[in-house]
Amino acid sequence: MSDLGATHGPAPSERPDSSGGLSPEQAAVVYEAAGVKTSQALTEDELKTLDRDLDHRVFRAMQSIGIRYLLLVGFLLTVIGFGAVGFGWQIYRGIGVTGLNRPVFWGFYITSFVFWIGISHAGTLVSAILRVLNVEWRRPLTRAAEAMTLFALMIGGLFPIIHLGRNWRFYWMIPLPNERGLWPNFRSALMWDLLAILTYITASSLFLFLPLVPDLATARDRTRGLRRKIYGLLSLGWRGTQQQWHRLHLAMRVFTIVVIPIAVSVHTIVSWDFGMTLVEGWKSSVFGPYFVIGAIYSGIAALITVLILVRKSMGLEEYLTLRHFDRLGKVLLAVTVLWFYMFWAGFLTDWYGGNAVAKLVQQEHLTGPFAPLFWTMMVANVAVPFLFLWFRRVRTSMAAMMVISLLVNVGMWLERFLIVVTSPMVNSVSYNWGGYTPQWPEIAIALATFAAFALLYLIFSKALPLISLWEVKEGWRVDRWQREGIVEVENDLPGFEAGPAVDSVGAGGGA
Amino acid sequence: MSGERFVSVRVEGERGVATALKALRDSGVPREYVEVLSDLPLPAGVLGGPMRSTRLPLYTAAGLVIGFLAGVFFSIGTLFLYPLLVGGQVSRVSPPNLIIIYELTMFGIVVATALGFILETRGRGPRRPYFKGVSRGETFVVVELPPDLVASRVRASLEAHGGVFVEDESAAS
Repeated sequence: MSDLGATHGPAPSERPDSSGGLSPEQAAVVYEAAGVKTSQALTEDELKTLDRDLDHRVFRAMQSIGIRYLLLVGFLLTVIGFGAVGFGWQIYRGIGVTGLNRPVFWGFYITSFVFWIGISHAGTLVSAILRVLNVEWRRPLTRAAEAMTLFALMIGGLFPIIHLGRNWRFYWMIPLPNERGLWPNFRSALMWDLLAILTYITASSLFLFLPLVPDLATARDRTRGLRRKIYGLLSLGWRGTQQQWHRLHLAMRVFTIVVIPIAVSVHTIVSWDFGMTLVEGWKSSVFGPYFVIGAIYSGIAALITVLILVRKSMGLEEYLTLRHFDRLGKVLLAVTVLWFYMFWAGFLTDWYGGNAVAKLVQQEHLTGPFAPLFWTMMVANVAVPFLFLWFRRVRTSMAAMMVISLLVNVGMWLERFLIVVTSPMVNSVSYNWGGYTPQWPEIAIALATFAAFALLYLIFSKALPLISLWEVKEGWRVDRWQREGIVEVENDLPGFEAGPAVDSVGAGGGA
Repeated sequence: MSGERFVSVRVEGERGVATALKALRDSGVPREYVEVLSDLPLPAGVLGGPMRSTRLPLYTAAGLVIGFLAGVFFSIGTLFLYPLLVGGQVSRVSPPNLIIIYELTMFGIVVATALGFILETRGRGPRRPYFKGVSRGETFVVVELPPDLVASRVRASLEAHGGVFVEDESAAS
C-alpha cells in the first residue's frame, strides 16, 4: 500500500480527528468562508488550509480500499463474467444464439452501442463547453466527466465487434489494401463510424490526460515504489514551471475548441447509420441533431448519477456542493425541453406525412406491443424531469436527483431500443415483417457492460485523482487575481523591461 | 553539481515571487535564466510579463496539415488507386469524402498537439532543479546562473528579498 496523503494532509494541529482532514468545526469555518467569500478575498492562510484539506481528502480516498469496495468489485466481476460466458457461447454456437433475425438485424448490441456512445457525450462535451464559457463551477466536475466519456467510449466501441458474426475476424475491418483481397470502401458509412469514434476516443483520452499531468506529479511526490515510478512516467517530468503551465493552458485551449465539433460529429455520424437508410422510422434529416441532443441528455444524467456516487463514496461533499447539483439540474431541465422538441419535430413530420409504414411504426409505439416501453420512455424522459426539476428542493436533493438521473437513462436506453429495433419490424413488404426477442447472451453482455463501466470507474478512483486538484485550487484564487488586476496584463509588460507587477500583488497576496 | 549552475530559493506566495523577480531584474539577471516553480499557474501580472513563446502552435498546425492530407489521400486518393465499380461505372462520391477529411484533420490536430505538449514538457538537456515542496503548495524561484554572475551574489540578492535558499532535490523523473 502506498503512503498517499499520509504525510501531506493538514498539519497535526489541524487534524484532531482520527480520520484526518479538518475537524467538523474547522471544516465548517473554512467552507463557510469559501462559500460566503466568493466575491471577497480569502486570506492566503485560508486558501492554504483549503488546499491541504482537498489534497488530503482526495488522496485518502485513493488510498483506502475497504471491504465494501472489494465486495463491489467482486460483484461487478461476477456480472462481467456472466457476460463473458454469454459472449463465449455466442462465439461457440454462432450469432444464431441471439434474437437477431430478418428483418431485425440490429438488436441489443447496436442499441447498447448507440446508448454508450451517447453517454460518452456529456463528459468531454460538457466539460469543453463549460471550459469555453469559462464557467467557474465546472472545476470539480470536469475530471469525473471526462473519465466517464473515456470509459463509455471504450465500452461502446466493443459492441460493433461483439455484433459481428465472426468476431475473431474483426481486423478485416482495417483497411489494408489488397491484403485479403478486399479494399474497404473509405466512403462507406461504416468507415465514418470507425474514424469518428477513433478520433473521439483519442481526443477524449488526451483531453483527460493533459490536465491530469500536474496532479500526477503531485501523486508522484506523495508515493513510493511502483506507484511512484508509474506516476513519474506519466507526469512527463512535470516540475511546475510557469512555462509548463503556459503550455498546458495553450494545449487545453486547442483541445477545448477542437473537441466540441469532434463530439458533435461522432453522434451525428452514428445517427447517420440510421438516417441514411430507407427504413421508415430511421430515415430522417433531423436525426443528426436529435441524436446529439439525446446523447447530451443521457450523458448529463449519467454524469449526475456518477457525481452523486463519487461525492458520497469519497466524502467530497464540500467540493461537489449542492450548488453544483442545482446547476446541473437546471442544465438537465433545459436539455429535457430541447430533447422533447427534437423528438416532436421528427414525430410530427412522420405523422403528418401520412406514409403508411411510418404510421405503422408510430402505432406500434403508441398503442401496439411496444406501447409500455414507449410510454415508460415518455414518463422517464419528459414527465418526471419536466415536472420536478423546476424545484430547487428537488435539484438539491441527492435522492431525488439520483432517481431522476437514473430514470432519464432508463428512458434514453428505451428510446435507443425503440429506434433501433422496432423500425425495421414493419416495412412495405408485409411478408417481410418480423419481431425480435433478445436472448440471454445479449442480455448478459448488455448487463456486463454496465458492470464494466462501474468497475472501470472504481479502478480509476483508486488510481488517479477524481477531482482536478490544481484547477479547483486555481479557481479559489481567480477571483482575487481578477480583482487585483494581475491576470490580464501580459501585453503591457513585455518581459523584465517593465518589471514584475509587484505593487499590484500586495493587498491580498501576502501570506 | 547543480549548486554551481543554479541558485534556488523558496518564496512566500505571489508577492514573494514578484519581489524575487524584481530583485533579479535589478541584479541584471536576464529573464530567460529564471524559472518559477509552483503547484498552480501564476497570473502573468505576478510574473511581470508574458511567457516565452512555445512551439506548440507549430505542432498543431503541422497536425492539421498532415491530417488533412491523410484525409485527402484516403478518401480521394484511394478512389483512383483502387476504383470501385458500381454498375460498371467508377463510384465517385464527394460528400462522404468531406467526412473522412474532416475526421482525419481533427485527428491530426489532437494527436499533434498532444505530442507537442509531451515533447516540449519532457524537455531536453541536463536535469534541472526540482523540489517536492511544489506539490505541497510551496513556490520556488530557480535561477540558472548567467556566465557573468556568481552564485553568491544572486543568492544574497534573493535572500535579502525574503527568499529562503534551498538545495536541489532533483525529484522530477
